[in-house]
Amino acid sequence: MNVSVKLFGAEAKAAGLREVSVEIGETTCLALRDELARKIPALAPLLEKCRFAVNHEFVELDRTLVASDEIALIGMVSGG
Amino acid sequence: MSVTVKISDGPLPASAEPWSFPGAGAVLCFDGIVRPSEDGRPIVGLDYEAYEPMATRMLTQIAQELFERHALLAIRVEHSRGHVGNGEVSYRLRIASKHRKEGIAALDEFTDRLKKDVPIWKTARAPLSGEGSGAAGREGSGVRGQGSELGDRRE
Repeated sequence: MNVSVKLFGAEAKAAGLREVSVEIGETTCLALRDELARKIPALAPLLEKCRFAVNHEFVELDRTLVASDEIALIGMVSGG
Repeated sequence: MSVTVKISDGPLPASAEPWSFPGAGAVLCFDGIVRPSEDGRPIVGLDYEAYEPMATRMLTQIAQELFERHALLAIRVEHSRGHVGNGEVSYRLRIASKHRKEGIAALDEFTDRLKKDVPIWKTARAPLSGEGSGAAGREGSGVRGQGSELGDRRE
């Protein structure tokens, strides 16, 4: 399944991308995280501290994804 | 329950408009202001990026949680998106409560949660002369972004 992942902040800067398309076999956030690390090595050291948001809500790594999900990688935020 | 959340472009008004809430014994207003430098390096301001609608949703969720926990009367939160120059207001939190203590506690807790869970990022903008670098902060917190702008490439 192919999914798109929105990137922000330090993760967007490391990847040089605002959005990345990823092909995943297992449809979980954990599998997506592993694939992101493989596809974009510069992201790998940041992923441990990142969370995924699916359809604008934080989810756990075992969350199953579907093709229509809006997926965002949320690293350390810095509002305020 | 009275919760108002707003994310808007550019700096917030320098002064908050007068506000009160029926039954309130305390009305608090916290303004977050962009500092002119960090670690001795000058900046001209911060560029804020928000992931919407999640940012608004998270701010609303946090406000609702604190509303019940601290028995508040009203919360108004505003946050900037885009460029905010140093000395300008980028974050304003107003809380009305019956008593002082719960309002102050909620104000502190809300801001802590904002900095942990709300998808808003800031990037320091260095002076055009090239002086300074891309590290700056607000309220003593570090900023993880750098001064250079990201492109909008998509893969």
